[in-house]
Amino acid sequence: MSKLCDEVRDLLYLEADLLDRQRWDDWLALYTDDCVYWVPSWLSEDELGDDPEMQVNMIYIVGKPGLAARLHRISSGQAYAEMPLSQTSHLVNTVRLLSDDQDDVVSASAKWMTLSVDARMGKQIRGGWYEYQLRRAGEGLSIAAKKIVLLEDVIDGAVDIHQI
Amino acid sequence: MSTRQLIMESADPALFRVDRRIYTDPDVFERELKQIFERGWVYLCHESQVEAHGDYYATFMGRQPVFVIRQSDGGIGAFINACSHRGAVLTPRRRGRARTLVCRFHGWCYNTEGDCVRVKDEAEGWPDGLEKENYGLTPVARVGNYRGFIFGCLNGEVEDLEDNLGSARPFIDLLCDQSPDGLEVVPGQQTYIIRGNWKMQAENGVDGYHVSTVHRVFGQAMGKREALGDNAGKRPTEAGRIKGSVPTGCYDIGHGHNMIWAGRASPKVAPLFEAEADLLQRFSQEKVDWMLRRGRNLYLFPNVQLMDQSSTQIRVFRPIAPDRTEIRVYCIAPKGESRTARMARLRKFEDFFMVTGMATPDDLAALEDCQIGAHGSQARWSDMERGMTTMTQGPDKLAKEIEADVHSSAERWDHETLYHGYFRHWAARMEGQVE
Repeated sequence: MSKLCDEVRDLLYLEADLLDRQRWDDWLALYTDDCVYWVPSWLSEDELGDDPEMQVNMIYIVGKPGLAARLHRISSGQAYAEMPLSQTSHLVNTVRLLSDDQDDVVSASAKWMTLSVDARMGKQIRGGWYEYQLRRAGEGLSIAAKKIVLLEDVIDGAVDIHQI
Repeated sequence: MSTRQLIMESADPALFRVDRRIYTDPDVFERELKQIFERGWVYLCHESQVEAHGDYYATFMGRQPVFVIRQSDGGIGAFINACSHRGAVLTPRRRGRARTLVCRFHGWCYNTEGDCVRVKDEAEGWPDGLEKENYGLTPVARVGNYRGFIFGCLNGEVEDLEDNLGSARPFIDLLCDQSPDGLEVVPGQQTYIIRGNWKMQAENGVDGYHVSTVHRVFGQAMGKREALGDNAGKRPTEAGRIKGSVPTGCYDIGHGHNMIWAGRASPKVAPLFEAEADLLQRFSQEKVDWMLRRGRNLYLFPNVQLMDQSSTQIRVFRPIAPDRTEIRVYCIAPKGESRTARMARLRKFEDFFMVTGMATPDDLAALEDCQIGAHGSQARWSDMERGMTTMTQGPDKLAKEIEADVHSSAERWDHETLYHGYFRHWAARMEGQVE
């Protein structure tokens, strides 16, 4: 395993762990200020959205303030659906580098599965895959873009960013 | 149990209460499917979702699977979604294009008019031969198109769609008239399951009273995003309606339909505002004010809501069980709007209207808690009395401006009188009355 691959895998594992430990500020610090956080919607049962600007997405956030707003909602204790906040456990696996470290940008993909335990909804398992654009900034890599594919096209209950 | 016993109302003392068993009782639910969803008009889809010949859209009317299809003459038909031979569903997807629908079980084929056009091994085996013309698909008895919104009715003996929509029409027009080219459903959708009765969704979507409690956190999150200098190209959200600092109102429209509205604190941030000059050339100032300066949630009995708030939404619901409902949401937008306006509309849609957004999950949690509470049969009655002594019969000044002859008007959107006609209509339909 290359050194770069280890570095990418460590970052992905760290991100998942920070979400599960609800260390929201540390999680947000992994992202670049101009980050893109995208969860496409399913156009049909087997066709995934591909034009985030002009289609309805499940989530499409450009820039850290949008992510900070989402974190504010789930961590405020004021959001009906997230009070009490669901507990999560992410499994991230099958990490692959899709590009070399060119111009300080690395593409990578991984599979994910999350177990959420929620007072109202009970136990829920969701899963899919991630595609990352990582950017080297000084010492480490930061997340410049994350695409999350959620395999459910009919969603049982609600979904928030700590559950995917 | 008589449906009428499930509603308690009197004018003096002012009283309007609903038995919570209407949300939980399996017999009530079965009767709703039969008397309401399989006997009266229900919303099916928007015409832009079946644009070209052979485009189909599959859905349900009550428990009955149906599909809507664009026919060879450009008309829109709807059929029971079951092969005439053994009943297999004919559409492989919720939406698709098929000028010939081929049953994947035994290969029988149908055209877009529902005619059976091919039977595998037709010449052999049938005792008296087989006449294909006797094997056409069963049409949905009535299909109606109100300005692009397609409705169906499984019962032929029903009033015309326009009469059923009644005074809701001028409010639907406020959406349809936003572009001279009409409306279109934007690609991308969301389907989700709620653990609540379909009426919980119907009521939540026009409940102005919850906004300042359930969605206060949405307002805070938006405030945070804007304070941090959101660089997503979004324009500020209308926080006024969440804080309750704008004029509001609600209408009991008649035929079970109802609506809430709230003034827009900053109408210039609405995606439609770019069309103001054009709209003023086509319509009266009063009507344009309704389009641009008041956000509206319109409920059309029994299964669709048309929201025109920070974004524009079609929300369709399908009852699955007393405590399960499938919701499909679509963004509907004026054709020909600018890319900037379309993007703002979409991002606001994702913020608020999606089950992956920052408001709808909280709506679901609230209505699902009501569903749980409804099982507390020793505490039997839900109270819907707010506004009973201040409401006015008939249309108020604003409704008259667009000739909406509504049943009653209230000058706050957090009053509850808009539900009264809806429940009376529901009860009448349950008792077998059909208009």
